[in-house]
Amino acid sequence: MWKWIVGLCLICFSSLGWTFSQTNLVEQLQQPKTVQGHFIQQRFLKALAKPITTSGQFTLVQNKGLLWQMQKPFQVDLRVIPSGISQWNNSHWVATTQAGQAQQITLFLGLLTGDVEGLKSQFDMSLSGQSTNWQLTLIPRSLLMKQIFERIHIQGDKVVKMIELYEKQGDHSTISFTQIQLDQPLSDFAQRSLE
Amino acid sequence: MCKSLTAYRYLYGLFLIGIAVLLIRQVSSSHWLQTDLHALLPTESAWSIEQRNADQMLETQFNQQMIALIGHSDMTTAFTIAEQIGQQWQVSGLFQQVDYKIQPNIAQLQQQVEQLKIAVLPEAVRHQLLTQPQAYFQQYAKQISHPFDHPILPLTQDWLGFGRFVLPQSQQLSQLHWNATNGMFYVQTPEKTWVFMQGRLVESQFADLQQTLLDVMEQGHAQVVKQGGEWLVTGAALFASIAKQQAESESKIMSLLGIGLTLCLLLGVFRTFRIFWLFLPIFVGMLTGIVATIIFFGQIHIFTLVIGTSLIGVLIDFPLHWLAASLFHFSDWKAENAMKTLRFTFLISLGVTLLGYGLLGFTPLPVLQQTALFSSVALVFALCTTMLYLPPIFHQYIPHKRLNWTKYLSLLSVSPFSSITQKIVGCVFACFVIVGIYRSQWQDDIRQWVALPSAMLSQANQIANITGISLSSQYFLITAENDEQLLEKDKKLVDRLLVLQQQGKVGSVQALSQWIRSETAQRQLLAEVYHGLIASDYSAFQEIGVPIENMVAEQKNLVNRPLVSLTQALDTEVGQMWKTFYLGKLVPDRVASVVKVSDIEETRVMEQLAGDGIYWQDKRQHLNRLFEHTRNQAGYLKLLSFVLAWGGLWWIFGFKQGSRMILIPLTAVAVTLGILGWLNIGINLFAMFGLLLVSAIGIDYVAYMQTAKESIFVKRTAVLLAATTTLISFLLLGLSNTPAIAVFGLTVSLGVLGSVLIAFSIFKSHKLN
Repeated sequence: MWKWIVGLCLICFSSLGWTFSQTNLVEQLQQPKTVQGHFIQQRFLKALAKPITTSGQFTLVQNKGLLWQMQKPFQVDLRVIPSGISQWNNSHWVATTQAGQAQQITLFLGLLTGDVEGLKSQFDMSLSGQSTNWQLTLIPRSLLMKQIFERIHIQGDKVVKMIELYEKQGDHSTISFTQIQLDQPLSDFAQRSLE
Repeated sequence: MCKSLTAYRYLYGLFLIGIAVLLIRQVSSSHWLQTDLHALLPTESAWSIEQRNADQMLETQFNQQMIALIGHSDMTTAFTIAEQIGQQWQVSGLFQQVDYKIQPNIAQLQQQVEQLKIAVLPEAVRHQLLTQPQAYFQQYAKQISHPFDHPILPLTQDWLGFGRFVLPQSQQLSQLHWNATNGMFYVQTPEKTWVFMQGRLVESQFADLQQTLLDVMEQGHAQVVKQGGEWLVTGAALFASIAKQQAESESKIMSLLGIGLTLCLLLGVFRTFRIFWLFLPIFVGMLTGIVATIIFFGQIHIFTLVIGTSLIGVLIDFPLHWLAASLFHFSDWKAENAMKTLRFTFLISLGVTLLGYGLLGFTPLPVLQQTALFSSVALVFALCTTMLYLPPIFHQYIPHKRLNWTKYLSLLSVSPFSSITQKIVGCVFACFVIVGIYRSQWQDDIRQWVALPSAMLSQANQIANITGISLSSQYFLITAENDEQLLEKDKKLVDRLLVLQQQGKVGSVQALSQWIRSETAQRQLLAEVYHGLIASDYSAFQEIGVPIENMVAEQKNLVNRPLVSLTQALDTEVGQMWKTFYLGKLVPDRVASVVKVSDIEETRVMEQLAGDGIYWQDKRQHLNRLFEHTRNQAGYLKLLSFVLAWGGLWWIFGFKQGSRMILIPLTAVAVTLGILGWLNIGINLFAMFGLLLVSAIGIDYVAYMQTAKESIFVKRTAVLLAATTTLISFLLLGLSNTPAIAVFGLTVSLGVLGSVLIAFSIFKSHKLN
């Protein structure tokens, strides 16, 4: 779970404080109030010949949270907001109970609002490219992250386009974001879920 | 005669110097003062050896444990403050271990989760797995396929998904969450983040660190509050340290105030600085009392000292009886002669009092034994000092001319009532006392022993509420021949408790069997899964492209899985929290575990669940019963001492006089009981102890009134003076923060008043001399 949350946090860095282009990148990523689009996630497990592939829609609202609507192969709606991660059961949100969850959300949503102190203490970051095509690499620094990740790659333009997570035990995953719409009206469900 | 007396004085003086040297040596060997409240508890016990061993183990754990919560509305600040406090605790030298953050080893954690996943699979999950396997695997497949909420074990190490439940199942004991970023534990409430911190205090030399503990906690408190946070802390050691501090400062204030007020009174009455010497017997009494107690018991308890301090008011009675006569015989009062005439009076009084204290020594309560010894020794040596040293000191003493107030005192010998009115008043008063005694409640509660500041108690409650950690001292002790049987017994008991829980008769139930299943049950579960699942149950995984052969293979491989024993499970990092529930071998060939139950409606229902190696352990109730028993025993011993004293007085003074003499303290005791009954103050062990002292003081007044060769007027003045000094110290005790001591002080005060009034109304005229 860690790997994913941390990865997703990076979709919307706010103020990582790089000298030259980092500032631009932060400003750039902070611009949109909402980001909506399509995602495809692929998990490559060492033991499996084919990746596990899932896809669906996502909605990110500044200072509110994230709605992750997986459509294939199953319909699963998930919501990540400060008070927790929960799953929609067709009538209400059911909180998932996993140890060590809440502070990960805090970290994640903290990133949305520009607080990256937590992430800086966990990773060494390096940025390359220009504002229309940039790459960010994160190398774990903390003891815990070193045990989970080999490295994390993120690339994008105005928004994050792709996240690649390389895990310590040899598995890796990619999430790519397409059909991105900025500051467009939200669906009723998204609005209700993230209000 | 005079020469031999002088020789005695020198000898006695040398002896006292020796005693003083001894005390200095005792005090310098650091452990002379006992402050542990448990040392006061009865040594005799109706519990079995297993019960006692279990109690002692948990008690030790409990006494060493300190828990703190640091709350702040801002999560980051809460963690920052906790980090500061955690470091302070670590360098304080108070703790052998401080747990405020752990950085786990993921590989090790995964290995332990893998090891435990069958043993601790929750019952509800087992049920779903066996009755709705498709739903179970669909949920698992969904969880795998979204990027949040990933299980601790990767899919390839846990095709059946059992590992997902190990951590939540193991962490059910509290609501604590672990922050993976900083490794700290915390609870999130709507208003605040509470960071959890736990320390195990050092075992040895802790007595010397009590002040440090209070300082460190106070410093922590100040630091947290300064940064806008809230600080909650609890621990038996903290309670003990606070109680000790209270007792010490109280005993200091009370003895200073008692001595100060007594001194003022005496200066006012006698108008000479020589009366400072009246404190010599007190000083000697205290000194010898302490030394004797340390010699016999190895240590003296702070409680004994507090109660002992109140003896000041009693010890000074002897010199006062003696000196009071000087107020009325200005010119012909001779110190030596006056003492000589009183010798018999003092011996009678001392004899009866020592008899009472001596019998008190037979009670099984260390604090009563200590106090009995302390008081007896102090009385004997104070009297010796009075008789040997005071007359020569007051040899040249010429009493000042009295003011007229002594004449007003003489009014005391006149009764304002006619004899008929007196009889009526007497009858009404007797009824009042009888009804009061009838109303009185005889009860003992350990909670009255120390006045725990309500703020501290509420902190303990808050900590229990926020974290879900049970701080209750009530629990079931389960014993069995081996761990297998233990877990089965544990489970049966828990099943019965859960029924009661549904009926709302108990609150939370925490037990080992709620965490882990026995090896037999593990074997059964493996067989159920092995035979119960079919390939189509895994169809959800086909949809995400995971070949179900993997699941089938793991299922078929289950039969080869090693079982996990209870001790193996408890040795893991994951099982840490459960260690406190397993007591291991309490006696050879017998293992034990603990089931904690909170919010019990009726303890009787719990007692009914005991039997067959299961015990209901309610320490407080158990102690209260022991106290009650001790109190009754002390009461019977006192009655016996009355009978013996009556026999002695009968022999010396004849039946009529002897009976009347014994009747006065007895009546004073009854009056005190009656008034306590009307005041709704429970008669506990300490009240009983107060009554014992009342009878001693009563006897002293009676012996003096009966035997001293003085006018009734002089005797009343002397008794009144003595009673006033006694009242000063006991009324002060009555104001103590500690309910037990306050009841003691109040009882003695009432008793002294009663004794004086009764003695005055019986010894009315000169004829009685």
